[in-house]
Formats: sequence, structure tokens, C-alpha cells
Amino acid sequence: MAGKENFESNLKELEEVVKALESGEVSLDEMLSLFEKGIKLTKSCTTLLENAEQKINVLVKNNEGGLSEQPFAPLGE
Amino acid sequence: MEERIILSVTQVNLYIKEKLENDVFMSNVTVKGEISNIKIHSSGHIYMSLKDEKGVIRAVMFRGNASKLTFKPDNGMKVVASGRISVYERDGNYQLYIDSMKQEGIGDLHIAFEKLKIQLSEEGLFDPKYKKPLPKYPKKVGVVTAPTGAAIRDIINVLTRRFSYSDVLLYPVLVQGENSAESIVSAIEWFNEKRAADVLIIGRGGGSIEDLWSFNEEIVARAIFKSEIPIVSAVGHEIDFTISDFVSDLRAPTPSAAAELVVPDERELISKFDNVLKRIKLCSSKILDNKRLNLKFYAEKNVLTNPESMINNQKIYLDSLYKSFENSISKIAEAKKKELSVLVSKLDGLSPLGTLSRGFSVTKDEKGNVLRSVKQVKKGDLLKVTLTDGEINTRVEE
Repeated sequence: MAGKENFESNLKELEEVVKALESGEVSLDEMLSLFEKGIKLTKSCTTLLENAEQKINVLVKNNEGGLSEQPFAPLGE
Repeated sequence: MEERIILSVTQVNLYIKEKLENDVFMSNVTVKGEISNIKIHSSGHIYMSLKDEKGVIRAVMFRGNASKLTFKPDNGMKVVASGRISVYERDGNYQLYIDSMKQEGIGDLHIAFEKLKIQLSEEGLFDPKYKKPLPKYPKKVGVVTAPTGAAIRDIINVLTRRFSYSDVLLYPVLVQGENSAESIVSAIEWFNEKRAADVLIIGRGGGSIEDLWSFNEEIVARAIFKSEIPIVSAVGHEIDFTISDFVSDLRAPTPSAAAELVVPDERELISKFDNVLKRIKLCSSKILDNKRLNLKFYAEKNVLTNPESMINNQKIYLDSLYKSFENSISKIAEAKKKELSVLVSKLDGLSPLGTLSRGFSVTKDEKGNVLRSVKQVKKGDLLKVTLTDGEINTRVEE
């Protein structure tokens, strides 16, 4: 999942964008590209969260004597 | 057949009961054994058997005494119970009426706990400087606990509800009894070796101090300390403290609290993003407004709106400069003139002509030499006398 790698770096970039914009010391061109970038990053972070497919796995012994993952659902209520 | 006294069943039971209750020893005994067939009645009374390798005795603990227990008695638990032996007439059974009960060997465990705690603390295993920060947004949460029971269920519930971005990987372990400490250690080591998680939750649900004991084992403490992956420890209930709690990077009061500590709330994050978006828009429009204002400021400047006025202004300035130049020149000339007339009048004072005007005269000989003494002339010399308004030619008579 490529998104997983991006989430945190996206957030970091987003923080920088906001910081630069809040300082106010940017040219018009810079402002426009920061604005565009900010909108894009927020959207992609939100989408990453909303579309995340959570895997819940348990480790089980396999035939080779190692461990392999398989989906897990806790038993009972 | 001889006449014998015939007793009723009740009479026999009553007799035995009185015998037992009057026995000084039986009326105040302390018995050790293992609990079996325990039944906790809804009334609060506890019925159970105490057994050892060879025998069993029935026992009961009434609600009043049972409510004072500091642990939850369970089958298999070794206990030391104090009370009296008496008879339950209905069943014809003698049994132990328990007043108080404690877990056998608990004192030893407490001592071992304190000893290890002091030792590891002195070694620095609990030092805050070794505590690793938890990742803010873990991609993978490793869980080391039993695959069944409330703990794993609570953890998974919270992780799915709060932050579906994090994957969860359970390493199932024994959380009590023989080999449990070893299995917890190998789970921690496996996660570290495979770098299979960004953060680990280790723990279990509530239980007696014996149940929680594997989390007080030295090998578990050392494995936690050695782990490069941050570990959150969640053992038992809020009131239970284990060595694992002290050595881990963060202690959570319960397993579900641990899950809440390791991941952020995704709904909060999403609303934070909305906020960030608002901030970006606000800042950008502020910057735009500023730029617009700047533009207006320059646009309204005379240079751009009325360039001729700039030239006129310069002309007027030049004129005024010229005027003041002229002014100062004539002032200087006048001042010089005055100075001159003062000098001239001073000169007048020094001139012999001035003296003449006051009635004096200058007498010269024929050659024009100014006479200063009578010795310079003799009788008959021609002299020239100069007065202020003319000359007289005269001759020396005597």
C-alpha cells in the first residue's frame, strides 16, 4: 500500500505549507503553488484515512517451523 | 433383644454438631488446601471444597465474610482458610465455615516483586531517559497477549474504531502459568527481529497476583528493556502494577486504554484536516488582500497617476532655489558695501586732508619736501602752503 508510506510525510509537508502561508512572507506565485499543494495534501490525507483497509492478522506456526500471518477475528463476545 | 435408646437422625446430627462446636480446637482452625467445585451464589455466599492430595473437605463462606476478600477465589487456587468446623444438619455433612481466607504463598510473591523492582530500578531499567516516544501514526500495531479473552477483543475494538489506518498483528502468547514468561519474551524478540511493528502492546486482562505473575518476571522485564520497538504495557486492571509496567515505555491502566494510547482518533484527525484547509484558505486570502493593498498604494502614487505634476514640482523647486540664490547674492553685496563705507570713513580719519579741513596746513619747500622744522629753511626761500581748499605760494621773510 503506497498510501501508507505517504501519510506521515504528507502530514509533514502539510505542516510546512501551513507554516509558510501563516508567515505571510511569500510571493504571489509561491502563495498560489502553496495553496494548491495544501489543498491537494489535505484531500489525500483525508482520503488515505477514509479508505484505509485495516488488516487484523494473527501469527500462526507454519509447516516450515516459522510464523505466518492469517486474518484474525476475536472469538465470542 | 435388649431395649436400646433409638435416636432420630436429627438427634444424631445435633449431637455431633454440639460435640464439634464444643471442641476448642475445631471451633477455631486454620486449614490450607486447593479450591475446587467453587460456586459463588447470587446471594453472595461462596460454596466450595478444599482439597489436598488425599482428601476433601466442604467449606462455605457467607456473604459478610466473603465481601471482605481481597481476591477473587477460583478453582485450583491454593488458599489458607480460617474458621470453625461444624455440621450442616440437613445433609449430615461436617464442613468448614470460613471467616477469612488468603492466597497461599502471596507473601512470598510480594517479597519477590519488591526485590526485583528494587534491583531493576537500581540498574536503571525504569529510568525515564530510556523511555522511547510512541510513533504518532503507527502503520502496524503489534499485540502480545492471549488470542482469547477480553484483552485482545478490547484492543481490537478500540483500534478498529479509532484508527483504521493501523494494521494489527497479534502474536498469541500464554499470559499465565508455566512457560508464559518465555512465550512473552519470544514474542517481543520476534517483533524486534522482524521489525514487524511500529509499536507493541503487551498485556492481559485482570486476575490474581499469581495470574499476572509472568509480567513480573525478570526475563520479561529485560526483553521489554531491550526492545527497540516502543512498548505499551497493559496488565490487569487500573490498580494492578507489574514490573512490566515500570520498564515499558508507557503504562496503560487497561488493554483498551493501551489501544487508545497507541493510535490517534481518526475522526479528530479528519476534522483537524478540515481546520487546516480553512487555515490555508484564510491565510491565502489574507496574503492576497495584502498584495492587493500594496498594489493600490503604488497605483495611487502621483508618479503613476500624474507624471506631469512631478516635473512641475521639480520646476517650482528649481525656481525657488534660484530665487533664494539671488536673494543671498544681493544680501552679500549689500553687506560688503556697508563694510566698505565703514572702512572708507576710517580711512578718512587717517588722511592728512582731514587734518587740513580742521585748520591745519602742510608746508613744503620748492622741491616739494614737507617741512617739519624751521631749520629746513632760510630767508628768501619760496614755500608752498597747502590748505584744505587750495595752495598759497609764499616767501620766508625772517
